[in-house]
Amino acid sequence: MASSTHELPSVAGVRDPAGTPHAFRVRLRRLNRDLRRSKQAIMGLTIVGILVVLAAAAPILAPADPGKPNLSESLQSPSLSHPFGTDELGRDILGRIIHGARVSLIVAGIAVGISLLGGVPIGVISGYWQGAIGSVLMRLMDAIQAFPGVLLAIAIASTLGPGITNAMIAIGIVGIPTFARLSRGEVLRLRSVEFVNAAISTGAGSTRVLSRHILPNGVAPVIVAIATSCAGAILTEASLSFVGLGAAPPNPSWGSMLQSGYPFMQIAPWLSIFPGLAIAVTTLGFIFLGDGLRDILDPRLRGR
Amino acid sequence: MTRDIAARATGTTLVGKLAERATTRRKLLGGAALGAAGLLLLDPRAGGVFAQDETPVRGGLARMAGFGALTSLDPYASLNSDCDRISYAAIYDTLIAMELDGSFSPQLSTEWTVSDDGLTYTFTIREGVSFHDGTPLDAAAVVFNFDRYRAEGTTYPYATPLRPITTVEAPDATTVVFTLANPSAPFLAGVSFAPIVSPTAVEQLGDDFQLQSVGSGPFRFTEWTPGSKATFDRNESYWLAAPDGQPLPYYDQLIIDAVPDDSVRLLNLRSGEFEYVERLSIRDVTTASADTSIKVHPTVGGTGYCLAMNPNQAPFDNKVLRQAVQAAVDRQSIIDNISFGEGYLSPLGFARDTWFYLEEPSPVYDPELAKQLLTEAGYPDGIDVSFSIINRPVDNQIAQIVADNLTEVGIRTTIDVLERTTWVELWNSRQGQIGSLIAGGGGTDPGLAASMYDPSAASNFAGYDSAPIQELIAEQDQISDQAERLRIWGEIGEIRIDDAVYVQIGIVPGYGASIANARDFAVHAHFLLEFDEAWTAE
Repeated sequence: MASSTHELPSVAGVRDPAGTPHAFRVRLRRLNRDLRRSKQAIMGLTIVGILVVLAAAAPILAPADPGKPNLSESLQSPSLSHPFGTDELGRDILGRIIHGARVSLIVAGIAVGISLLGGVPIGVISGYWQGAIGSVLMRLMDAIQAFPGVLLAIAIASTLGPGITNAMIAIGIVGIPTFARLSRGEVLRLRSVEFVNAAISTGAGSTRVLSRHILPNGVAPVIVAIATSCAGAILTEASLSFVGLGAAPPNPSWGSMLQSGYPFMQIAPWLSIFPGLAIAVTTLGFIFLGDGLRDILDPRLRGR
Repeated sequence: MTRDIAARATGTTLVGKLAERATTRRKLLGGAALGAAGLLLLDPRAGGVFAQDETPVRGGLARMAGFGALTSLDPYASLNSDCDRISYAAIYDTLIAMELDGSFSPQLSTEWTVSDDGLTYTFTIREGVSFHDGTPLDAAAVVFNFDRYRAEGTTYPYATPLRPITTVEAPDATTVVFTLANPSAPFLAGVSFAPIVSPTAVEQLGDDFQLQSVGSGPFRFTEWTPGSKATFDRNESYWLAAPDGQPLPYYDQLIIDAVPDDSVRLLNLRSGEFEYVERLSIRDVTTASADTSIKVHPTVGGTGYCLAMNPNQAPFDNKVLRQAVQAAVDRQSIIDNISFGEGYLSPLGFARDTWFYLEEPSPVYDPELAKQLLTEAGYPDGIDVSFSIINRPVDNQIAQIVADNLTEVGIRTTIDVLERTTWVELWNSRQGQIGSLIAGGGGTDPGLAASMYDPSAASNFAGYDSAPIQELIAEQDQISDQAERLRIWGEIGEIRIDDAVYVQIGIVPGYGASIANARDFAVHAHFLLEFDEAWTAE
């Protein structure tokens, strides 16, 4: 887990490279250059970008209420007026997928946000102070990680009760150990690096050391983890919705579309194929983005 | 998508053929549309395929896939009689069997008489029948069984029609006399459900009788581990003989397994893993009908779908609000949508192929009226309600249409999808608001639908308690004239519609399927099969 944006640790660290506007611009420019070099990252960004646009413009792109049944048009195969066909209640599947992008993105955003806000402090506390509390917290993380992710999410979601909010909380909780372990590793590594030691020796307090020296330099692997966690969150949400613990009908979540569509697999496969594709493509997009970012941000992989 | 299901037409002729046929055995071991919601509604009706000019083939194996796993081999302890009944039909016999028109035919009992006051039934028991363990099936064994089923605190699922019994006696080895407290129309149906098990085996095995049964049916118990398939071997000394004089059944072995998913079950039939499957999804009927390697069999009756509103708690303790919901729900559109136009409305939940199907009285669908009623109920600005459903595909579909219907008139509806146990808890604790459930769709006798109106019954999920309906049900139970009973059920319908606690959406017809070469099996509601005369053509 030794990855860093830091190229000249001892000198640059003392000068506090992440702190100045100039350094920030340099970094951005470098990121931009690297991004363009990574085809994977570009593909990932494109897919995620399209998804964000779809989600943001859903009411314009698909003005019809995605939940409203239109029974006279049920189970129509893909056509010009309904490119992805209609579902068992006569609703346009393309429209529902576009609106479903919102659900998926919101779920991914909030769930990963929960994982991030829960995991990073735990990792920092146990990594920086290494006290009893930290040990206990990390053992707790181990315990959470001992469960298969989807299973744990199902267990939490069924305890909290079905619904998209509870699904987000469940997915978020399941993701906490990933961020806790990752950030703990980074903090442990950075804590023993010379520029941090130098900062400590000049009398900088914990808050300053953490906020000015450790966190800015440990952020890269976390960014990569955010992207891959989004992919995981979207998949888990689809799984939860599939077993009925996610978005309540008529809310168009891709997972619940799959669930309501699969019984029609033999007579109307488009009910399941398109939501399934949407899930697959989106997940792939986030994974590409994550992998691409890792290539760019990990100096050891650079230039390969 | 329009659907033309040829099998439906064929089915009618099959059913007709069955009715004409002098069946020797047509028992109805819990032939029930008990449904996942567990309403006590019984379906005995049959379709089937009968060979014309072929010579039956002896031997071979019949593998059957039901939709749920066997819960107990002891009918007394059955937890899901809807799943268990197929196994019971294979290993047990009943005294009498119910025919399609509601009449009864001899089985273990060769003849029976009813006293003029309708209080005494005398059955003559077939001589020379023995259980699989070799003990005789005599009058004393029959008395043992009925006393067991109707005992205080019984767990037998079909005890309700046996309640009028005051005594069961065996004056001699071949005579059983039932004395009833009052005349009861569903009583004979109750007798036709009751499997006769070996008293010796029950006493010797105790609780283990649930795991290894002894009956007198065409197949004997061989092997069963709960949670997996059950194997039954041919009963070498079955009392019923084939037309050629050799004893039945034809098959050497019968294996009954469970595949919960409707579509997977059909795929398994196609891939040759089973010879028979019950409960096709209506979605798959068209594709299955087009496949020449299998045959689709319509059954009599089907699955009934019903809405419930909880009259015991606000806001649906308000009758006018319930009536507003009833008027707002477009039942015809819903039944058309969930059944591809195959289903039909049935205000009381009775199947149209039973003698007691009632088309009227029926609630009106009128959104304008619904809006008026909503205002009258005290909600001129509308109301927010929660629609709780069990996580099943059809319920999901129904809920979304109902929610749309209700939201249109100002009853803003959110759908809560729950696990079955959570849903049952919610409703049994009378905390639900609106819900959907599976109820109706069958019936050997309309009186057996009474549990829906019985406040003490667990399957009366809404806690519907109408004294006038209970009185009318008690009244019609004592009448044997079908027309008069129907008239009373019409009155019950009027009250039910006025109360609007249960709103029956309609009934989706049931189908089963077999390999194309399967012959001579009897199909009851939801594809309850009898294998005693069944065989596979070469």
